[in-house]
This record gives sequence, structure tokens and C-alpha cells, in this order.
Amino acid sequence: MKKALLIALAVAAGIVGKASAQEKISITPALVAAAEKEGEVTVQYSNPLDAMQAEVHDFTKAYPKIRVNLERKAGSTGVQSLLQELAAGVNRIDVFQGTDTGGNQALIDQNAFAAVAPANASELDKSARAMAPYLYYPDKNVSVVMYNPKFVSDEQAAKLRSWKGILDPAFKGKISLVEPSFGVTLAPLLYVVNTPGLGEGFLKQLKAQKPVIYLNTAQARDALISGQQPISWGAQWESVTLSYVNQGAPVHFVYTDPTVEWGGNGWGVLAKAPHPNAARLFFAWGMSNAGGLSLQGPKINMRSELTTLADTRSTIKKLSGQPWFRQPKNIWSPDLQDWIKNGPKYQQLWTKVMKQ
Amino acid sequence: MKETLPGRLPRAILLVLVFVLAGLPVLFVLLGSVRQGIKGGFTSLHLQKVFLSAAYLHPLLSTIELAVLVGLGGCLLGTVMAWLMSRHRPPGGRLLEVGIMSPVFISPFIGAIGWITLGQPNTGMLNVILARFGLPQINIVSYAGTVFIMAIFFAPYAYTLLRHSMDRLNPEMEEAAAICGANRVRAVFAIVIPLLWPSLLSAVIIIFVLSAEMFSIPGLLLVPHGYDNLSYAIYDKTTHWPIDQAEASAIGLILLLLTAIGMTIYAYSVRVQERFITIGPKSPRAPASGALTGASIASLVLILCYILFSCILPVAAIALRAMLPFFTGSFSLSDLTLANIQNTLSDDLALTSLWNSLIVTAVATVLLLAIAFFVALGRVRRPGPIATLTWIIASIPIAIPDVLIGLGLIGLYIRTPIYATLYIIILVMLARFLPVLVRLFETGLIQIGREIEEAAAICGATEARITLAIRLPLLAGTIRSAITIAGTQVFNELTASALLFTSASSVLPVVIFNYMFDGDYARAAALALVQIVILFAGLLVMGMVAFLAGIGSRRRRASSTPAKMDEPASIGRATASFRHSGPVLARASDEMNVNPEEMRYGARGKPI
Repeated sequence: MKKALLIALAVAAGIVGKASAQEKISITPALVAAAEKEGEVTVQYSNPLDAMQAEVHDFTKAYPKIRVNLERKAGSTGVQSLLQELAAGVNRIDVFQGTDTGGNQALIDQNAFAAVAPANASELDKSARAMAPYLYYPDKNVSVVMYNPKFVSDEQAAKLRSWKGILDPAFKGKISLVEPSFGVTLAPLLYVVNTPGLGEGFLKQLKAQKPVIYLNTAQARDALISGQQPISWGAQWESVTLSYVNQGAPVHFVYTDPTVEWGGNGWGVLAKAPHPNAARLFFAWGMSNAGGLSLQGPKINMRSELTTLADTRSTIKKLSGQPWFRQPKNIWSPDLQDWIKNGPKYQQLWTKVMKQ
Repeated sequence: MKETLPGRLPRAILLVLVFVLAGLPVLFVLLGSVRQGIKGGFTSLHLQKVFLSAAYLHPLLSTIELAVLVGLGGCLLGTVMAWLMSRHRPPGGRLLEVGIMSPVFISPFIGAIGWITLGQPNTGMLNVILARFGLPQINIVSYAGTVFIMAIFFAPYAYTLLRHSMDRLNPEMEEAAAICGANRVRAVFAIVIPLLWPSLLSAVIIIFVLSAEMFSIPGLLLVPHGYDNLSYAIYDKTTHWPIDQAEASAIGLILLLLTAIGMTIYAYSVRVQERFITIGPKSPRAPASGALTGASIASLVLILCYILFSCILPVAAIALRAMLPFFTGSFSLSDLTLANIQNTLSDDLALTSLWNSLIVTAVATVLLLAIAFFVALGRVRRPGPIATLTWIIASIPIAIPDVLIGLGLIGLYIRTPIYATLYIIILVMLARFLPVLVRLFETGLIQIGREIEEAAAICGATEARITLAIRLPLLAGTIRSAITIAGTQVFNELTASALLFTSASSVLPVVIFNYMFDGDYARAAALALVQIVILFAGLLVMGMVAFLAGIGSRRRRASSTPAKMDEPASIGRATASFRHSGPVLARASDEMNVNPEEMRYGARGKPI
């Protein structure tokens, strides 16, 4: 008992210590001047290239003297690359953005990030701070079921709002899935395995629907638009879907009920960033209202985690008048600890059911 | 005579160079298979799982099955093309040759996307046309479709290896067989195939190995439908969290073993190299080029069909995708737009990456040619422990998937200033493509008789002089093929580059892949189109240089001999250069007590 109390005290002291060691970052003239002196910032990211370029465009408009070097290394591969660099003492990256929750935690475990807190941290939704003070998630990912209205009518697609709707015999042979290897593909799987009445049995029934299993979400979208597999289930997210809708692609979507929602990209400032001030400026800008508005821009279409920011996304406004479009009703957010601890186990279960 | 230490020194330096370029990354892969994590100790667990359990038996069998089918299919296609080109000389030979080689200018990933656009069920462009005429549809998203695409993609490798061998094959032997009563089929099996055996085997083995480790086409077409192979297993272990590079390396060892077996078979088969010499002091008689006969027209039609399916249709599909925002299977002309191509040409990232790609391609191609030539020369002309070891080390990376070579290079150079620069991208290209180039030069050198070089040596020509005056001119065709293959492969390489690139060293295929990964197929296709156009332009320039060189050599020949010279262009250029070694030949003929003109033209007055 005494031992447990001592451990609890030590853990509490550690948490307090960590919290007190947090560096508060606000955008001050001094930070801007120091960042401009450094002149550049290198960002390793996972987002789509187009979205990231739009974000950088907005940042550079505000801070034209700072060049942003973009390095796209998505998901687990990017995490592994950064882990290798850290182990070798190579410090090239200033800011990291990653969608792989398990990988993000591995980076935190290796002390990759500086413990920081943006000045407006309290304005961020709780889910944005799940990995604070090392990683913050300024954008919210929302899982959707995408379909091609030329091959699946809106009436039929209404069934897809229910999680079990995908098991309707009418959808057999029309479905594509994507191997659950990162955020957008793992989050719905977490809901499935953690929900009574779904679980392994549901996966087996889904397998019986003869889905095609793609390696990445882009293949699934391409197959959907060309009509090969007109339903992409458990693999698409709201922002990317909206960009297709914007382009006029034959794409409609529904939110399942409950809708799976989680922090999209974890942003962290590398502890040994070669451009520490520019890194902090980029990070603080990303967490600010200006960053939030950029995320909601027409090329990115992300929901901001800033509770103080209204949803300004023009595409959502346009869709509001469409008969097939309905905003999500109930939200389900995955438990990050479960994700980190059991994610690989759930992936194995999925592979066992779907691939064997 | 025992060789002196200074004589061995260049070969020892070459061995060290090849070991650093090709051996060390492979060594890191091997070490990686027994390491436990980034900072962990050593373990044999991964090797046990891969080699002592049945965990990877099914992927292994699937890999072998696909690679054998593609190896045979690609070799058959390449052999047929080489045979038609060499023996029937259809009109437009040079242009046709470019067409036959064209699949290597297209990255397999892009080619597969082109074919999916053409041949996916129902909405594929070809299927829409077939359906309109009430004809049965094709399904390229199938096992047969995958074998077909991979075979046409790899056929140029077989063509390259076989074309020059066939050109050097003297038809008099077949004529002699015919006089003795052998029909055409018997002549092919009794004479042609045995003489071409090293090239055929080399082609099958190279295509087998490349197919076994290829991920892009099976990954796009077969894996989504439940197919399992070793390259997918490696992809899985290197991209899905928790990443297990050690197990991926251990899986890579299976591919290494497969290649080792293939190479052993190859080495055994070509042990008596002299059996396959088809160039000697007496040159083969080649049929006339461009003459319109029934056979040459039929050959032309067959070759055009091949070019249509291997290049024109997939490139047209890519071009179409570049002009459409998205592909739904149906479109009208008003949907077409050049916006994607315009955006691509004004995109800083694309332009920087293009520039980087050009630098990498130029530097890596020159280095590859030089190193591969000397490795092959050592293997063919100075066989010994050092040369054999150099050849083995240079050949090993062919068996290691690109992704593992990339990981090996990261492990090797991460603590050096080379890491995160263009230099490491160049190094990965050298490691990756050295085996292919070595094999190409080796095949070319095997078929050049030693007599010519020995004659020059007797006259006092140094090794350097023999190389410059005899070997390189006789290898002109091989060198041209080597430049084509090295240049295009380096320019198109994606997998290893995607691991090694940084913001400062991004190359074009990585940008294309990133657009593709995002689902922006239109911009990816636009960039791919730019890539293809640049490769074709490069080839065109090379063809024009070769053509002008050919004109020059023909003029020189016209002024020196009245004999009609209708030998293949590459041999023509080689002989033209060879003739410039007149003084050397004169001295050699004195030594050998042979008439110089007889030596020059052979016993029957045919030009060498």
C-alpha cells in the first residue's frame, strides 16, 4: 500500500514536472524576428500534397521571409524514418505532422519532441490535446462512407448510415476496403472491434460481401469514381471527400451513426529542431485562428479543433441544400490509449478475417 | 605468366569500389535481418520465422509462379521481336527499335495505371469500345492481365539481350543446315537456340528476378483481390505500424536465394564461353534492311501490334487522364483540359524534382556504364578470383527489393554527410542497376572473339588501346542499349528514392507517386507524361547522334572500300571504328604472317 502510494506520488510529481516544463509558445515580434533570421523551416508531413501546399501558402503569406521546406513522408514510413534519424543523431526536421497514432506515441517515447503549449491551448478541443504537451491535433478527422451515385442511389446509400447497413445484399461486390494501417483506416476499425454486436462477427459478414481490398485510399477513390467499386467503406474521410465534391466528381457520402471522429494530424516541434524559432512560429501559427481558417479553406476542408472558430467551410455550406446530405448526429471518438496499445492487435484480427 | 601486383591493382580497386557501392548496402540488409529494432541486439528469430516456419511458403510459391510466367512470357515476346527485327529487317528499323524498347521508358507503376484505365471491367476505355461492337470484354485486373502487363513491360530486356546476339548470328549456319535437309524448326532448335542460349537464359533469369521482386504492378492489380507474394510481405512489414524492418530483410533473403540459384544456373550454362562466340575475324552476313518482302511486311505488322499494346495505348490512356480531372469511364471532348499540364509546368516542386532527376540520371548513367563495363570485362576476359568476386558482388543487388536496398543505404550513410543529399540517390541507383548493366556488357563481350584482341596485343597495343579501338566500337550497340536502359531505369526509379528523398533531393517519380497517393491522378498523369516525353526526347537525341555517326562511318567506308556493306548499323559502326586501327592490324598481320586485307575482310571478303 505504502509502495503504491509512493509510486502514485512519483507519477503525479512527474506529471506536474512535465506540465511545469512546458514551454508556452505565442507569436511575439521577438519570435517572428528570430524565425526570420533562421529563414527556413523543414516540415515532415502526412497530409495530401495539395492541402499542405495550400497551408504553406497561407503561412508564407503571413511570414514571407520564412521558406517552408516540405517533406512528405506519410504514416508509419515517416515515423520510422524520423526514429532512425533520431537514433543516429541526425537533426534535420523542425516540425512533424503525423496521422499514425501508434507511430506518434513511439516518437514521444523516444523524446523526439519539445514539451510545448500553444498560447491558445485552452481553446483547442480536448481531443486535440490527447498527446499534449508533445503533439497537438489542430484538425479533426471525420470518417465517411463514400459512394458513386451513378451506381448506388441516394436512397440505397441511406442504409449506409447504419454500421450494419453495409451488409445489405444489394451492396455485395460493390464495396472496397483499405488495409487498416493508419488513422483514417484504423479509427473505424476501433469502433467495430469495441462495439458490442459488431466485432469479429461483423468483419466476417463484411468479408462475405466480397469486398476488394486496396492498399491505399486513393486507389479506392479511383475505383469508386470509375465505377469499379462504387462504395468505399471505412477508408475515407470528410476533407478529402469534400475536395472531390468540389471538383464535380461523381461522389456522394454519408456519415455513419455514430460518426467516428478523431484528431487528424499530430503537430510536434522537434526537441532538437535545427531552426527552433521558425519551428515554434510555424507550430504556433498552425494552432492559431489563422491556422484554423487555413485548415478550413477550400483546398483543405478540414474541421478545426478550435472551439472558438465557427465552421467556415464553403463546401459544407453548399452541400447543406442537397437532399442526400445530412450532418453527423452522434459522435464516437476512439480511446487513444486503446489505439496505441491494441491497434496492432486489431490490425492482425482484421488481416486474419479479411485475408485468410 | 604470373600476374604482378601492379597488374592486379586496378582489379582490386574495382573490387573495393563495387563492394562499397553494391556489397555494403546488401550487407546492411543481411545484418538488418538479425537485428532487433533500431537500437536492439542480435536475434535469429526473424530468420527462423522466415526460413524454418511455413509462414512465407505460400507467398514464395506465388512469387515463383508469377515470376516464371512473366520470365517466360517476357522472354518469348522479346525473342520474337528480336528475331523479326534481326532476320526480316522490316522497313523503319530504327524507329521500330525505339518502339520495341518503349515500355522501359514508362515506369511500371504508371504503365499499370494506363492499363487499368484501358482494361478495367465495364468502364475501361477498350472495354467501352469492345462493348459498343458487341465484342467480349477484357479484364486487365486479373492474374492473366497482370502477367500480360508485366511481360510486355519486361520484354525489352529480353529484346536488348537477344537482338545483338541475333545480329551476330551467322545465317550461313542455318543455310548449311537447310542444305543438309533440316527444316526451319529443326534449324532453330539445333542451331539458333543453342547459340543464343546464354542470352536467352540471361533474359529469362533477369526477367524472373525483376518480376519476383516487383511490387508496383502486382500491388495495384493482384493484391487488392487477395493475392499474396513476397514483395507484398516486404511492403507490409515496411509500411504498416509497428514496422518490422528485420523481418522485411529476412524475407528479402528469400529473394536473394532465388536469384543466387538463377545465377548459378546461368553461370553453369555459360561456363564454356567460346561455344557462343559469334563475332570473330569473319563477320556474319546480314540480310538487307528495309526491303519490302512478304516476311518483312508481316514482321512490321506484328511489331506494330506489340508497340500499340506495350506503349501507344497505355501512354494514350495516361495522356487522357492528364487532361481529365477524374476518370469516370466516359467523357466528351469538352471535358478535356490542359490545365493539369500547365499547372505541372509551373509547379516549383515538380520543376525542382525534374532538375534533380536529370542530374541523378546523367551522373548515375555515366558511372554505371563505366563500372559495369570493367566488371564485365574482368569477368569475361580476365576470369580469376578477384574478377569473379567483383562480378558476384555487383550481381547481388538485383535480388534485393528496392525498398530493402534503400533501407540498407539509410543504415549505411545516415551518419555521413551523404545522407539526405542527391548523392545518396545516385548511390542507390548505382547499387540497384549495376547488375543489369553488368549482365548486358557481359553478354556483349562474350560474343566478341578473343582473336581480334589477341592480334592487337601481339602488335603491342595496350589494354587501354584495345578497349578504345576494338572493344568499345564492337560494343557500340550494347553501349547504346546500356545508356537507354540505365537512363530510363534511373529516371523512373521510385521505391528506393521514396525512402531516401528529402525536401532538397526530391526526384520526379516521388512527386508523381505523392500525387497518385493523394488520389490526384490527373496531376500525377500530367507529370508522368512530362517524364515520358523527356525520355523519348533523350532517346531521339541519342538516335540522331548514332545516325549521324553511322553516316560518317558509311562515308569513310565508301572512300576506303568498294564492297557493299549492309551489316547492321551497330556492327557497321563498330567495324568502321575498328578499321581505324589500321596500323595495329598491319603489325598483327606481319606477326601472324597473314595478308592484312584478308584479316580485315575475312576469308570470303566480308567486312568485319
